[in-house]
Amino acid sequence: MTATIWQSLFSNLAVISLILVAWGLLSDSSIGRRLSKSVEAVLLGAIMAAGTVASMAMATPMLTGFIFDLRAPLIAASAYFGGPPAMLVTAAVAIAYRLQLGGDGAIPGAVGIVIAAAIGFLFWWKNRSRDKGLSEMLAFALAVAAGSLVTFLVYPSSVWFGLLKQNWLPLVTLVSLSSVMIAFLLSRQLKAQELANTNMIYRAMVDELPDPINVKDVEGRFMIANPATAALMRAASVEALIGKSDQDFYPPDLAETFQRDESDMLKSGATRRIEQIALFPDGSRGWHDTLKAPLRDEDGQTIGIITYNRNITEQKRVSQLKNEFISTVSHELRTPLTSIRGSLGLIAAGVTGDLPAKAANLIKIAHSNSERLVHLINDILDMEKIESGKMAFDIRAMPIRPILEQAIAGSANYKPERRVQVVLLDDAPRAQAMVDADRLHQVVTNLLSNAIKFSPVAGVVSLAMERREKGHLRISVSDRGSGIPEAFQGRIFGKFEQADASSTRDQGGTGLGLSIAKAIVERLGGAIGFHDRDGGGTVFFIDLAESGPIKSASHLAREDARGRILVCEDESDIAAVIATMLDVEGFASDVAPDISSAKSLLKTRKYVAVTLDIKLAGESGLDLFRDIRSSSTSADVPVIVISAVLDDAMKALNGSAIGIVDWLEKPVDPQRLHGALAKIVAARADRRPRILHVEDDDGVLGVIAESLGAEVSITPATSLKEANELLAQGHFDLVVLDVILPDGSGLDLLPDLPADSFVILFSAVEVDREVGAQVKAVLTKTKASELDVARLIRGLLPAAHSDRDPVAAGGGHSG
Amino acid sequence: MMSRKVLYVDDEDDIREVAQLSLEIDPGFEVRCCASGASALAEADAWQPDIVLLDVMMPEMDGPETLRRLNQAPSTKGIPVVFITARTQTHEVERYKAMGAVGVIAKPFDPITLAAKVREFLLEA
Repeated sequence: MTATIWQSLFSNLAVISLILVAWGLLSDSSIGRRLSKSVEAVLLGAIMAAGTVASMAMATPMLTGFIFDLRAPLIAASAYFGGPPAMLVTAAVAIAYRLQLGGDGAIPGAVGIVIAAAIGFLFWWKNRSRDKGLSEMLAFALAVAAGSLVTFLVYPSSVWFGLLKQNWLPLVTLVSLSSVMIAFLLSRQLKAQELANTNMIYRAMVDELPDPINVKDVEGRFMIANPATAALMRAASVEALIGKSDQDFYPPDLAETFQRDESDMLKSGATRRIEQIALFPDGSRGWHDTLKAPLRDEDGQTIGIITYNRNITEQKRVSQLKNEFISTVSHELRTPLTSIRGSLGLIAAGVTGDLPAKAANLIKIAHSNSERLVHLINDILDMEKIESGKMAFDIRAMPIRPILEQAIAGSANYKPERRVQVVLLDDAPRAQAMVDADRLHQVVTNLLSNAIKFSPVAGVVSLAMERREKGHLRISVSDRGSGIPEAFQGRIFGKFEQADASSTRDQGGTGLGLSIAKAIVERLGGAIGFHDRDGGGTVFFIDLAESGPIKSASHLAREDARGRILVCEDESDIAAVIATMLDVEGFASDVAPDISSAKSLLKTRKYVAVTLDIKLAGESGLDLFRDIRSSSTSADVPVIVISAVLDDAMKALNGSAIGIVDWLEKPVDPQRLHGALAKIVAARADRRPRILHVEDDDGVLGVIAESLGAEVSITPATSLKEANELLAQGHFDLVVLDVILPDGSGLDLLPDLPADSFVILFSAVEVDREVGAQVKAVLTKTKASELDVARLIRGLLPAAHSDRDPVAAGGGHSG
Repeated sequence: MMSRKVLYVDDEDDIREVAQLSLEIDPGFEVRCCASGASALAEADAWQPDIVLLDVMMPEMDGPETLRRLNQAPSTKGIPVVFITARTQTHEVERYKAMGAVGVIAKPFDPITLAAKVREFLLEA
């Protein structure tokens, strides 16, 4: 009996297999592929229904009226994959056939069909896609098997236990087995069918595309191509292309070019877009915008080349026409402009005599606008050259500093009425980069003129160069203007963009400068950008890769750590000459063209010396000299005076020449400069005894300083506050202290001094014995002279400065 | 100071006039103008200028052709020639130099500094 149920179910399994094969053939056929989804579902339902009928008909009754078969998996799968339409068809047919068979098992059988359909429906409800996972299908199978067992509960109570006991094992085994099998096969078939559909759609898309698209293998032989490709290559059909390569269709020169592009792409492994010469079927040549992409298999191995061509011949032609037009028009404009600019320039400069004030003003307006027109035409031509790729670049490794110096010199005449000063800060001595010097000059000049334009009157613009992270140079131009409006920041490098239209009129910009600058910098392989400056204003920067002789990190560190000298010189070419000499001598240098910028640099940056043009920018360099001396941060900075009018300058400084290392005449003699620098180097190497002189009387300070000469370094402090600051900054070997100071008593300093300090009190007031015990010596101004103090200091110094003998260094023309 | 002779050649009347005034800003310059390449050849032969400023685009005999003939004639060979042109693309400038011009001045020139530029070319030549 048991054997029979197994046999019966296995023969059912054979029916199911046949049904599935039939479904596969149908859905794969050309009719099956064209079916809409709902018709397909109904068809699935019908085939499954036929399966249920066959399996019920073939089953051997275990007990009269009771049939055990594999209809449940078929019904459930029909619902699971076909949804409600398939479920309804299958379930209805199965129920009708079961009822027609009759017997005591008819009603329970129908109930079992409903249960199976419900299970299939639930699974369909949960996942309607055709993509069913393996675990989901296993769960489905177990659910259907459990459903079959549940059906026993509706059997008549007299028979159900016996039937269950007899049949549960074969039923559970084969129902679940066949459920998995049906689900697995159906899901594979449906997926394959979907894939075939997708392929068909892609194929249709590619075939209809008017642009050539194709795939070649890595050897360059066509694997797939669309008719447009065949037409382009004058092949009879797409099939005639397959297996052939470019060599079979193109002249050797073109085929070689194409092959080179492809092998380049294969080497890099990255998608490329290139503009390619194209040979069209009519024999004409034109341009293709070509995309080359690698075709990869599942392991990421490149197995082919995807090529897509778009005909851009017309586009190229139009853009070339446009460029030629711009070029011609600009040149044609220049000829009449030569006469206009020339005439106005000559009249405005007074070559033809003086004009009435009103006429002079009108001529000035006409002249400045003709200048603007000249700039605009030049910028338009530059832009055209860049866009058409005709701008020639002569790129070689160049030292950058001279380019910056030339740009400063070039902008000296720009808007002189604004009185904006440009300082040069060089934190990357001897830096080189691969650039076209003229083009970089153009960019820096543009950034400088913008910065000057947007600076407040008499403002300062800094042009700085620094080394960023390894091998990167940054050139930056900072102004202290009002900054760039936020709304404008995103468009700043666009063509004809100005923050507001009126600025064009006021400032004479063309709106093309920054967009040209960006194109040039990018062509140099660099980047350009901007950010807000701390404290107001804007910083534009150019980043370039440093080049030139390869330098080790320690070498660079040495170069960056060189002594820095501030060159105070308003004539930029002379500043450049001095800077070059300083560079030869191993010093880095910054340049300040006027006193106020020099002063602010001395406050923020460290310098080992200052070279000072005594006739600085119409101001007197002597003022700066006095400022240097009286400021706590730069009081002992050595100064090299450079002047064309030495005698006058010497006279003016007579008597306060402490710390002046040397006087040099213009033009500067490198030998003399070398000598002066040697003194500074010597002074730096041999630390002289440091003396702090706290005194509010200039006369006393001067006399003592002069009598001690250059053997010592004297730092004056004219108030308690200043003295405290200086003491906080560094060690002094000896302190000369006045008692009565503008902001308090000098004696207040005593507790703060280091215990072993040498202190001399030199004051008009008598001090008591207790105080006297805390110091080395007490001299009273009315009783002792400054010379006595100096003598006393000389006597004390060997003990105070015991670690080293005082060295007479630093020369100078003292006393 | 010894006066230097400058010959300016341009087919545009207006530009010749402006150029003459601009060049005469330098009191050391004696300036003459010609309106064509042919007349320039004759003038250069007769007057023996210290420098010739040549417009590039002229009808009949253009600047480069004039330069070639100046260099051919023994009497004018060696007179430095500077091109004055509105076409100053890099490759064009290189081409002019290759022809033997000592320099190129771009149009529109700055009338105030034109004479100084010519001085520089005279010093270099």
